[in-house]
Amino acid sequence: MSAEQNPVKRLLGDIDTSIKNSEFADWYPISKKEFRDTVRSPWIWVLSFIFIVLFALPAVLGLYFNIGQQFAEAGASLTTDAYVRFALPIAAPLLPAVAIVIGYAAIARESERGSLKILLSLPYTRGELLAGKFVGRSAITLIPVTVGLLTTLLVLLPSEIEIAWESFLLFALATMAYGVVFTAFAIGLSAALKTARRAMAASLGIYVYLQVFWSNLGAGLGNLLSDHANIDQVTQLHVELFVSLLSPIASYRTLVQEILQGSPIRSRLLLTSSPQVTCEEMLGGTLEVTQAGAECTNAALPPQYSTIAVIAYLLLWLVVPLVAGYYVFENKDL
Amino acid sequence: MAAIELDGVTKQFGSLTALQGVDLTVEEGEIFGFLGPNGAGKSTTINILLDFVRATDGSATVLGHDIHEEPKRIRARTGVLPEGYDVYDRLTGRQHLSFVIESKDADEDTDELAERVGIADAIDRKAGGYSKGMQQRLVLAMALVGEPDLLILDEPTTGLDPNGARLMREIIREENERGATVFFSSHILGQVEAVCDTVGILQNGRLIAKDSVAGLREAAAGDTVLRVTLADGDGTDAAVTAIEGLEEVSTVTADGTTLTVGCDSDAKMAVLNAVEESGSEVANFETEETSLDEVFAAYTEQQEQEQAEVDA
Repeated sequence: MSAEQNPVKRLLGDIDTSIKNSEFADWYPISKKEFRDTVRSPWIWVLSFIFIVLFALPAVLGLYFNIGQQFAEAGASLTTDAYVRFALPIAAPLLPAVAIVIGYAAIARESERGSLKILLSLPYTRGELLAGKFVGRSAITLIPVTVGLLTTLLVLLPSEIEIAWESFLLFALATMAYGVVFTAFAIGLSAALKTARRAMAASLGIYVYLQVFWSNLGAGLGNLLSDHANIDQVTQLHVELFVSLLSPIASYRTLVQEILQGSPIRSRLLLTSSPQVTCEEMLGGTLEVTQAGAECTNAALPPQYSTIAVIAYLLLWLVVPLVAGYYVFENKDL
Repeated sequence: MAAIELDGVTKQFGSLTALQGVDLTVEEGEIFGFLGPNGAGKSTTINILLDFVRATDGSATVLGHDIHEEPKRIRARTGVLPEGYDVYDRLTGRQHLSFVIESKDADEDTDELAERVGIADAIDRKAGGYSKGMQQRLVLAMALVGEPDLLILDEPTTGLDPNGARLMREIIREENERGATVFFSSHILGQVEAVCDTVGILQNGRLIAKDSVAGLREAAAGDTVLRVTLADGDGTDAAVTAIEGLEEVSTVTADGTTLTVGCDSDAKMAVLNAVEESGSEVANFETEETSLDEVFAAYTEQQEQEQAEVDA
């Protein structure tokens, strides 16, 4: 079938042409090349496959055989929210690892091997190169996420489980953003560091630190300040909550919790060591323990813990590594 | 306007000085051979021209654009065959070419390009499976995309067999006839001698000579070596005496019937006449022009001597 007869192909061709002709998309051929090249890497397929299996299958199978009933709120029918609860603790630690493997080699490997010389012999600035790499590799990261989510939907559609479209799509969006953030993080380090090995070590090292130690950092820092600087308990909780939210893993988790709980306050409370004090002293509310869990009523969330702020903290992990990576890359000898 | 203009370009890597105040002008439309031993700073110069590394001091323009301010405009009109590059193993030759065509907003046929460099039958295979010579041909084809005004070729014959090297020279000539300036570096003198209009010799980070191939040859060793074979050995001594009497001759040595004469390049007829006048018959004669190898050696030695004098 020729391109003229196939509407999908024609549409893709039209999109391709219009991006190509856009004045601000000089980086576009790089992102396309990057996608074509990376998508042929067997490693990324192995990793994506593992991710898809872990992300979609256990939760889906569990729900299919009604093991997920315990996650449903009492009396309510089983919805995809139960799946999201299942998938969140899998996606939160696993997706960064996938994204890092996709991103860490982006520039450092090409620099080591010498293909960067071919790329930069073409009419691209180093910034455009970085932009093209970011877009192309982010698209690769979105493949396992999308396939995992679609697999879930395909299995759940014929089942008795009700699909809660709004929360499911928001979860999909948050997870995609989360994957892209870690891809950008790894690419930024790849642009700044000399070898791919170092970029991988640095990005995985920071990721492990975030995953394993960061959750204790906020509480530890709060304690430290309380012991030595005599701060009061509310300040201590502020330190704890704020520092926790600066981790992209925590901010992603709390955003997804927010989608499920329908309340930013309840999902933020999950991050503190003392929900009652946080609710009553810091937020000025009343903590009520219901069947569905603790609920903080009549409370006001300070702007630094609002949804927008948390999204901004998450995106900082995209912007800062890319900008810092660009700065180092722009000024270095290849 | 000069195609390439370097003005006092200095590059230091830590305490190592890779280039030291290099001034160089490459005129538009010329084929410029950039010659020097490995480690002389040729690749560093090219890397500076392409803005891969930044000069510590000095400035340079390529096609009238400042190398650091407008690298993108330079690259849009330049085709590059870099040194120590690597192709994308997982992409085919055609995908490589399409990527460059798209990047340069050019409108060329991938098959024609592949045909031109002799890899037409391998164009749909992954470049990771190409031999070093084929990869070199592929990257050359990529450099030709978009009819660039300037071709920068860093050690272009590396990895090429004699056929490939010949093809490379043909393409360099064709591109030059089309109007492109060609700047290529090499440590192999034969390559440079065969195609270049002008040659620059770089050594230890300094440009020690720049001239036409003929001019360099003359500058390095003004003498032409003339080998005269006499019909018989009887008149050898008389012939030597006669030649020695000539003003333009610097050395004469005799070996049986063969006389080796060092003289000015235009003294050939005078030498032959002197031999005939001395009563001998010339059976054969040949002139030997100094090769660039010798020119290069002469320049290098001269430079070392001067350096030794400075040091002393």
